[in-house]
Amino acid sequence: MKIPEQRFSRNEVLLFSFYAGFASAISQVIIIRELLNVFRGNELIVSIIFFSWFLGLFLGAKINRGKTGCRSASLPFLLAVFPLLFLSSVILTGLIPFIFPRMPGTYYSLSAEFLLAGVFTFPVSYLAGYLYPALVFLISPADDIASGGRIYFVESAGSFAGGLAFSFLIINFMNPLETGAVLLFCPFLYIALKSGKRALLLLILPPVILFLWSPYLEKNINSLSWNKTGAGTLIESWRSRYQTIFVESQQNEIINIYGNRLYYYSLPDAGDMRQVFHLIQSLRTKKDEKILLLGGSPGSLPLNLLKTGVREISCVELDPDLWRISEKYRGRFYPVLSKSSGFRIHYEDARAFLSNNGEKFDIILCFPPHPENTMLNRLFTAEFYSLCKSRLNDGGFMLTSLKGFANIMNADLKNYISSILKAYKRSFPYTMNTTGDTVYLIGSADRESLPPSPEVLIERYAKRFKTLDFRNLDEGLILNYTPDELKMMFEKSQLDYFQKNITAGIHMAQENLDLNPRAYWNYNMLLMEEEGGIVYRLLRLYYLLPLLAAAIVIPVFFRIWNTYGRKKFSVAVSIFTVGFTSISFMLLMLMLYQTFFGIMFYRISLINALFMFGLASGSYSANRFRLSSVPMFAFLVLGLLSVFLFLESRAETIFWFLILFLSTVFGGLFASLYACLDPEDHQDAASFLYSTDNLGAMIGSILTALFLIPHFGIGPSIGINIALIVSAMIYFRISAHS
Amino acid sequence: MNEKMDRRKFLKYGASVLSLFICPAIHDGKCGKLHAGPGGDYAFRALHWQKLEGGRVRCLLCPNECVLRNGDRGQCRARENRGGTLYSIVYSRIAALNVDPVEKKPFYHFLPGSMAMSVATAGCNFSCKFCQNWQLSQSNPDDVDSEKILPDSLASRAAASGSRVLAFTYNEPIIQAEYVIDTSRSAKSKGIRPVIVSNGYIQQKAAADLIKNLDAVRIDLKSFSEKFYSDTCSGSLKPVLNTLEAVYKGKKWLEIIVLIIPTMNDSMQDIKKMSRWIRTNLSPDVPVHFTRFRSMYLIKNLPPTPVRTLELCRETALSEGLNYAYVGNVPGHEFENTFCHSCKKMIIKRSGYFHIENGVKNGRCPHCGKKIPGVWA
Ligand code: SF4
Repeated sequence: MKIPEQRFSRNEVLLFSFYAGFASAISQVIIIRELLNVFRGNELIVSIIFFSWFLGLFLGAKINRGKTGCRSASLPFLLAVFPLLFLSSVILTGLIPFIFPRMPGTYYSLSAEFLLAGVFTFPVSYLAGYLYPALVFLISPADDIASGGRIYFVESAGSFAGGLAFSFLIINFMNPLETGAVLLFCPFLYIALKSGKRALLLLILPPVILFLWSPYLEKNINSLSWNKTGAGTLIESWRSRYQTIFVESQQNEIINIYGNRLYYYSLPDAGDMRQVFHLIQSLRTKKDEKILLLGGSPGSLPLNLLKTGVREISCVELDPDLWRISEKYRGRFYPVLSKSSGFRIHYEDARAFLSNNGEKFDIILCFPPHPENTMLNRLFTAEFYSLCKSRLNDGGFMLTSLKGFANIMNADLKNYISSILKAYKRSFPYTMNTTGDTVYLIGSADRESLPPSPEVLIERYAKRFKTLDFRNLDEGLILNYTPDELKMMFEKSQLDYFQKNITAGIHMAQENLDLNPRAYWNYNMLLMEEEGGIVYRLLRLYYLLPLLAAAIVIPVFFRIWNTYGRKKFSVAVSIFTVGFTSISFMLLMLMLYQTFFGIMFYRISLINALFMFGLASGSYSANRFRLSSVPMFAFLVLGLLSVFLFLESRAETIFWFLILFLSTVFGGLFASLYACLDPEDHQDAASFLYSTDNLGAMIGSILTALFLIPHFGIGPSIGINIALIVSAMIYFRISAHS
Repeated sequence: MNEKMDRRKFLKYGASVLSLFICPAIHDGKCGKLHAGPGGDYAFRALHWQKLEGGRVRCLLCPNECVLRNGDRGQCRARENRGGTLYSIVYSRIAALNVDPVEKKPFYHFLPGSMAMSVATAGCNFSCKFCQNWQLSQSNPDDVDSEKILPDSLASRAAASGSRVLAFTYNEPIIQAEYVIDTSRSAKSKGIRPVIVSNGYIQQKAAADLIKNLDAVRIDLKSFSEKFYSDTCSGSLKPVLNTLEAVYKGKKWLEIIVLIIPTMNDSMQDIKKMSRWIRTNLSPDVPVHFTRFRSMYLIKNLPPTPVRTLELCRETALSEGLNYAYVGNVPGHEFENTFCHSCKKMIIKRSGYFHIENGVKNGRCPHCGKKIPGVWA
């Protein structure tokens, strides 16, 4: 089956380029989201996915450099292969737990996650890379030296459109399989119409069937893989804007709730809340308090606190769908929380709530998941604790939890706890802590708010306990309770150990900050140490990664120098730096977004879209006006866009603009550098440039996530990138003139 | 750099330079010579091993039977071949030291309410994916901060702390058998009762030597399935059963703990078989604790064990004829308490491991006067 041999018109080639960009942007985002559904959702995995993505682009572009590469007749079919590969990646990703069953409750090792993320990302990106030189070749007779930049512009514009389509339509209305079906429909329809054969119209049937069948297919994929690794039977799954929520029934009695397969909590949960419930009771010094509970809650804690004289509890939960689903099942065990008097729910990001809401509270409770990513790390930073402090009434206290220890702590765990404690102490100089697998930090700005020692706390509670009326509380909280149970949270020898190993050396610790996420990194090192894999040992030696990167890059540049001479070498250095810094900035922007605005996985595509828009604008301007006018054009675009962007906050506006600015510069540089090559063979030049750009991006994604951020923090990493790109451009200028 | 360098040469030199940096980093430190250096301070000629040809040795302490070349360490990381002689490298190398209630081990029928000085070194002959103390058990002793405490000194410290019990716990005491034996002897001479909290994975001859020096043993019976032992712990069940018999026959106080992990070892069929085995091969009076799992180490994404599952385990054990089955790690649960096997009345009330109301009088039930199995004074 072939479309008659022909050359495509210029517009058709541009249409193909647009489709390639559109489909690849959507594919990349969806594959990232699907992989994060199976793997741990953090920047390390995102950087590996990016790495693999650029490896695919690099190899695709590198391999398709000869004149015998893909040519006109097969191009529409290759475009159809795109969604097919994407669909296979999505389906196989969903089936990973089924194909590679793992022990219930365990994660794949980080090395395995890295490998699988690479395997599932690679095919789509390889094809995207493979198509670029061919498209440049097809358009080169018409556009000559601007052809590389032209295709880059149209592809980037397609990616921009894809990113927007995902952010505002797909995320709300379509699952990944439906999206794949629509993407498949387009090239099939084109092939059928172009060939002029009616029989080929049958080609559009498979995507239509897939579209209709996809909800059923998705449900089955989920159940199949869940039942291999879950603790119970999957009874419901729901794609919310922020995550995929899974509800599991265990022994027909217990409901477990998961987000992106990460265990959140069980219903009913009174037994699990027993220790912390009494800890809060023991710390209360008055009645009628207003309590702020940051993060969704299983139910028994707020309900029972309200029964003990608390006036009001405000609960802040980001995901309304998570709350809605929890309420549905919570109703089986407790009165509906939202209708309880004194209870208020706010659907908002915790930090946004603290920043925007002027209300003050007597007690703030925050039990966040471990800081596996920067989005969670922001609930452990000095800036966050300072926000909490600003919302506390005089004499109030904050109670938060973090991963603790059993008997000893290794260096990573000590670093992790110290970095958080130091951040906490800055706002709450008067701090107590518990011991055990979970450590609770209790802090206040007033010395009088907390008892002078755990012994006094327990003694006071033992006295007060006799006078308290706990008759209406859940049985799990009070059955056989004696205040001696508090001693399990304050074990003397463990407290001494904590004092000696953490508190005494706190001045030496690196504080966990928004822009220097120490806890995030230390926690991930701890996870890697638990796995004991090769990745941990490699990361321990911080100099190894840059060394490995150098070992890859130096031979490549050595060859370029020998084969192409100085001019192309300087172009290669510049374009490599553009690739490196552009992806490095992209990752840094993602981290910044997570840090300041919270969960970003539903925003990845918007960030991507704006990035692509910037690339498109930059390359468009460079195609017309050349290198010198790129920055001017970038500012112009920003000015114009500011009119159109409707945005949630000023800070967010600055963020989006920064992305646009940087990507416009990068896009402009790419197109200008292509023009500087002044190529005779366009496919070869496109392959050269595109592959070098992606080599830079590969190295940039790995080094940023695993070296720059852990060792320098976010701010200095941005500085390093600026220094790199400026140096590369100066070098390019000098070599071009000489 | 216009002069062309031979690419092969370039790559060859590059690779050699790089390997200088990479090789030490990716070496995993297990069974290797790289870590032979440190630990010399703590080296102590080991018990239970045999010489093999070519300077190799075979360790006969546990069923792993590691065969080690000169400089190699065993799977437990705690024993090393040095010049054809096997050494324990954790002798007196104390990495953790706490004073805990004996109920935390848990021992429910052994001096209830008393405190136990609890000590650990590093390393383990298992690699359980749910280990609570993985930072000790799965570490190389060289990588853990340690303090040198010789046997006599440890026994004296235990006495000075007011502890009646000296517990070798947190990591696997078997792999430091030489130290446990010497310290136990010293402790006994000072009136302190030595106990171990162990996985029971030891060879029979070594078990006999070790057990005779102890007063009580608490064994983790991880499951009653060989598959679970091999998949989750890299061990096997049979030697553990042999050890349980040896402890019982050695007339040492024995308690068994079974950590129930959802979907992994919570089959009531297995609990039934296990209980029957205990009743037949040991005694119905051996206390068995079915304890609640919470996410730990590599199994960090499972919900906690439903309390109802633990209650079912207990009911199954009782129906198979065991007299003392407990629900553990659920503070306040009714079946954390001890009920007389004869009159079924409560004789010891607990709430967590710090609150004990012990009604047992002279080892007898305060209600019916029946002798209660255990060590009470
Ligand atoms: S005690 Fe250690 S060295 Fe000896 S056999 Fe067991 S694992 Fe191997």
